[in-house]
Amino acid sequence: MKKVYKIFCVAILICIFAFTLIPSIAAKSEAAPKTINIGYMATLTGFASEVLGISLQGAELARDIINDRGGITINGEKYLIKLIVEDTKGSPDGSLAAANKLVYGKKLKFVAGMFPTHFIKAAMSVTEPAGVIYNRCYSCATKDEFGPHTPYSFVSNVSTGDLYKSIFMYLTKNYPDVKTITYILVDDGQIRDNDRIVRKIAKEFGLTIKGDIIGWSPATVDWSAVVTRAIKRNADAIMHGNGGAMANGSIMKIAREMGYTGLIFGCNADGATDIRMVAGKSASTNYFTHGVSESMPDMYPITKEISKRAMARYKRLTGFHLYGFNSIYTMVEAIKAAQSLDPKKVKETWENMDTIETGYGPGRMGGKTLYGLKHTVYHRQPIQVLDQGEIKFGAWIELEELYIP
Amino acid sequence: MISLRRTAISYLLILIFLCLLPVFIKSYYLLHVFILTFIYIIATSSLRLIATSGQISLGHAGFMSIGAYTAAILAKELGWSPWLTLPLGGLSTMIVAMIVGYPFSRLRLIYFSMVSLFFGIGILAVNQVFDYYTGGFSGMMLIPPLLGSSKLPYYYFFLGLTLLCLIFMVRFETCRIGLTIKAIAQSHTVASSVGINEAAYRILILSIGCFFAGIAGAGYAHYTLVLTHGTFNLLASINLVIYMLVGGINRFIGPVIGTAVLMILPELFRDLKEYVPFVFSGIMLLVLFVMPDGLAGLPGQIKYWISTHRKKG
Amino acid sequence: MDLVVTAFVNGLVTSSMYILVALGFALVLSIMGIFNFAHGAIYMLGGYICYAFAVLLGFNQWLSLILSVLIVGLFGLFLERFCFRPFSRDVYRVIIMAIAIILILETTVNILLGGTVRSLPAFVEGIIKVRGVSISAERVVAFGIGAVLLFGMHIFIRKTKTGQQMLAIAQEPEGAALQGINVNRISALACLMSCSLAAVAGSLLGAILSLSPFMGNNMLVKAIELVIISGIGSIGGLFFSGLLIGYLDAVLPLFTSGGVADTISLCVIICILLIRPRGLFGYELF
Repeated sequence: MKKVYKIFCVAILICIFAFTLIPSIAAKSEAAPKTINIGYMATLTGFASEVLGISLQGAELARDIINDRGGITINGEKYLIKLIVEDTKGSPDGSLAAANKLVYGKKLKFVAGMFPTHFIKAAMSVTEPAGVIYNRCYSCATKDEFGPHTPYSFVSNVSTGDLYKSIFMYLTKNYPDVKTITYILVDDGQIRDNDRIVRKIAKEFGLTIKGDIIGWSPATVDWSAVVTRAIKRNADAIMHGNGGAMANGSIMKIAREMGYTGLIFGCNADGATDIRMVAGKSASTNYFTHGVSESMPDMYPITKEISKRAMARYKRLTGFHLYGFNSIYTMVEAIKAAQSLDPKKVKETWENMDTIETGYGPGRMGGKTLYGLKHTVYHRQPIQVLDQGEIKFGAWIELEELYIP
Repeated sequence: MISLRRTAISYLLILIFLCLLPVFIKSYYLLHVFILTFIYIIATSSLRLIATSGQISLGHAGFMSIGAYTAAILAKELGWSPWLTLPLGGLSTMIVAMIVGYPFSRLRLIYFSMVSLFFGIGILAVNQVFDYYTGGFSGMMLIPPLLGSSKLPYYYFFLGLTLLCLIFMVRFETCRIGLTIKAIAQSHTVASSVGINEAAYRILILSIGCFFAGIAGAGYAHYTLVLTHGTFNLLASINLVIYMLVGGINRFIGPVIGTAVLMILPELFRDLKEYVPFVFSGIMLLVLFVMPDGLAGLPGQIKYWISTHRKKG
Repeated sequence: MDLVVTAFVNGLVTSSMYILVALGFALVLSIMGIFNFAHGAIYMLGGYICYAFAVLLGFNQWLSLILSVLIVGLFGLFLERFCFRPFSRDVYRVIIMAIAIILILETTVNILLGGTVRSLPAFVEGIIKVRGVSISAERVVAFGIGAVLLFGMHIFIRKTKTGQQMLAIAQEPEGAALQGINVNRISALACLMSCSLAAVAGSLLGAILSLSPFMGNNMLVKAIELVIISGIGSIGGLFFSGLLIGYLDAVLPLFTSGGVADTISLCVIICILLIRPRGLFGYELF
C-alpha cells in the first residue's frame, strides 16, 4: 500500500510542477530596446481578485497605446514602457511582499496599481521611505492613506471625496426632490473619515445624510439586515459607497425584493454592468452610479481608442479598466513633462502641472484643499443609469464642475 | 555524545551562514522575506510550545494581533519608544492569555481548538469596534519603526531575537515544567493522579506561548509599520498551524524548518503569479504522503529507508 | 413596513442558508470524525460547476444543479478514497490535506473562471408577499429545500439501516467493523452525500448571493459555528444552532454596526462553547 501512495504523490508532484513551470517557461518574453520599467501591483488571487484583477488589463492597454505611438521621448532618447507585474495575493502581506519585490528586488522607481485601503497602506510603507513614486488607482479618503505625509503618492483617478461631488451634482440636477439620503458603506475603517467628508459635501448641495452611516462588516454574507435598516430610515433615496459589486448589487437586489421602489444610487467604482449582473435585470431599475461603457456618447479620441481596444481584446469595458489605464498613463505623462527618470524631479514637476492628459480626456491636477496635497488627477466622470434592466448613459460630469484646486 | 557535537556544529554552521547571508544577497527584497520568516518562526515555535500540552490553538494569529496592535497604538498614539512597546506587546498578550486561559484551558483538544478559532476571529471583530485606534478592517499605518528605514539592522535584530526566543523555548521544554506539561499531554488522568495541577500548567504554557506570539506580533508591527485585518485573520492562524504541522510537530526544530520552507520557497517562485498556491500545496502534499513526521523528520526517514532497502538487498 | 415581521422572515432565510452549508460539514464530521476544512471550497466548486453548465453551456438551470451535485458527489468519493481514508483519525494530517485541497480548488477555479464578477441567474423568479413583507421567491425555495434536506437527513440517520450504520461508525469504528459494517463503504457514502449537499448549497446560494472563488471561506466559518454549537454527532441539532446564528446575523446588524454585531455573536458562541463544550445536542467525545 505504501508504494501506491509514493507513486501517487510523485505523480501529483510532477503534475503540479509541470502545471507551474510550463507557463513560466513559455512566458519568457524578449526585452524591449530602451524601456521604462513600471511596476504594477495587481490583485490576481485572493480577496476581491475577481473585481480588482481587471485593472491590470487597463494598465496593459495604457502600455500598448503608448508603445504603439512609439513610446515617449526623454532628452532625445526614445523609451518604451514595460510593465512588471506582481501579485498582491489579496492580502496585506502579499501587497507588502509585492511592493518589496518591485522596489528592492527589481529596483523600480515608478509603481502603480491597487485598490483596497489596507493593501495600499502596506505598499506605501515600502514606497514612501524609498522615494518611489506610487500612482494609485484610487483612494478611500482615510486620513492615514493620503496626505502630506505621503509625498510620493499620487492618485490617478477621481476617488472617494470627489466622487461624492460628482454624484451629488447628477442627483440634484436630475432628481431635485431628493433631499435626504441614507448612506450604506462597508465598515472597514473608512466610515469615520468618509462621514466627515460626505456630510460636508452634501451640505454644499443642500442635501442631508439621514442618521449615521450604516456600516456592514466585510465578512457579511447576507445583506438583508442592512437593507432592512436602510429602508426603515425612510429617506428620499438610498446611497451606497465602496464595497464591491457583489455587495452593492446584492443590496439593490434585496431592496427591490423587499418592495422598495425608491431611488438607489451608488458612489463608487463598481459600474453598472457588474451591479446589474449581481442584482438581476428585474431589480436593476431606478438606479444610477458612476460607470463606464463602450457606447458612451461624446468620447474624446483617447477614450474611443481605449474602448475599441478593450472590446476587441477583452470583450468588455468597465471603470476598472480606466482605473488601471490612468494609473500608468498619467504617470507616463508626468515623466514626459519632467523629461527625467528621477522620481524626485518627476514628483516636483507633476505636482506643479496644472493640466494632464487622462484616459477620459483632458484632466487637471488638484486636491490641495481637500487632502493637503495637489496629487489627485481630476477628469470628467461618466454616470450610468439602470432603467428596467437596461444600462443607459446618464451624463458626463465635466472636468470644470468637478475640479477642486 | 558524538551526535550531540555533530548537531551543535551543524547549527553553528547554519548560524554563521545566516549572519553572512546579507553580504551575499544584494537584494533587499530577499532580506525582507527572511526578516518576515524570522518573525513567523517565533510565532510558529510558540504555537508548538502550546501544542506540547495538547492544545492546538487555531487562533494564534489573533494573539499575535493583540501584541501587534498594543505595541502599535502605544507607540503611535502615546509616542512611547518601540523598544519599550515591543516587550509590552508581548506582556499584554500574555495577560490576555492568562485571563482567557482560565476558561479556555478547561477544554480538551478539539474543543480548545474550536474556542481558540472563534477567539481569533473575535479579536478581529473587537478591532473593528475600536476602529478609531486600530483603523478597523483596513488597518493602521505610520507606526513608529524600531530601527529606522534600512532593512539590514532589522535582519540582524530579528535574527538575534529569534535565536533568543528559540533558546528560551527549548530550555523551557526540557526543564522540569516543560516535562510536566508533556506528561499532562500524554495522559491527563495519570498526571492528575500524581498530583499535578493540570489546569494551572495548561494556563502557564498558554501564557508563555502567547507572550512570544505577542513579541512576534509587535515585532511585525514595528518592522512593517502597517497592520491590517488581513495579517491576522483566520487564514493567518491556519497558516501558522500548517507551518508547524508540515515542519513536524514532534520535534522542536519542526516549526522552524516548516516556516522557513513554506515562506521562502513560494517567494522564490513568485514569478509564477497565479500558480504560486500550487507550489504551496505541492509541498504540503509531498509532506503528507511521504513524510509522516514532517520535514524535520526527514533525516530519520531517509535513514529508515536506507536501512530497509539494505535489508532487502 | 413592520420591522419585527421583516426581521423574523430574514432570520429564517439566513438560518436556512447557513443550515444548507453546514449539513454536509456536519455529516462528514459526525460520521468520519474529520474536520473537512475543504467543505467551503467544495461548496464553491458546486456553485461554479452549476454556473459552467447553466451559463457557459446553456443547460437548464435545475438540470445544471443536478449535474453539479453528481459531479461534486463523485469528487467526494475521490476525496474519501484518496485523501481522507489514508489518514482517517489523524487530525493533524487531515488539516494539511484539507488546506491543500482548498488551495488547489480555489487556485484552479480562479485561473479558469475567476477575474470577473459572476452570478448565477435566479432559479425561481418572482417575489412573494407575506403579511406585508415581500421576499424573493428563490430565497423561499432555498429555505424550502434546506428544510426538506435537513429533515430528510435527520430521518435518514435515525430511521434507515444505512443511517444507523453511520451512527455506529461515528461512535466506535472498530466496534462497527466487528458488527460486519463495511466502514469504508459507509464512509465513502457519507462523503458523497456531504459533497452533494455542499453542491446544492453552492448552486442555490450562488444564485441568491453571487460567485467568487473565495466565497467558501466565510461560509466555512459559519458552518463550523453551527456544527460546534449543535454538537458533533447531531444532525437535527443543526436546526436550532442554525436558527440561533441565523437570527443573530440577521437581527443584530439592524441595531448596531458590523463590527459590534460580529463581536456579540462570537461572544455568544464562545460562551456556549465554554459552558457546554459538547454542544447543545452532541455526545461527549471524551
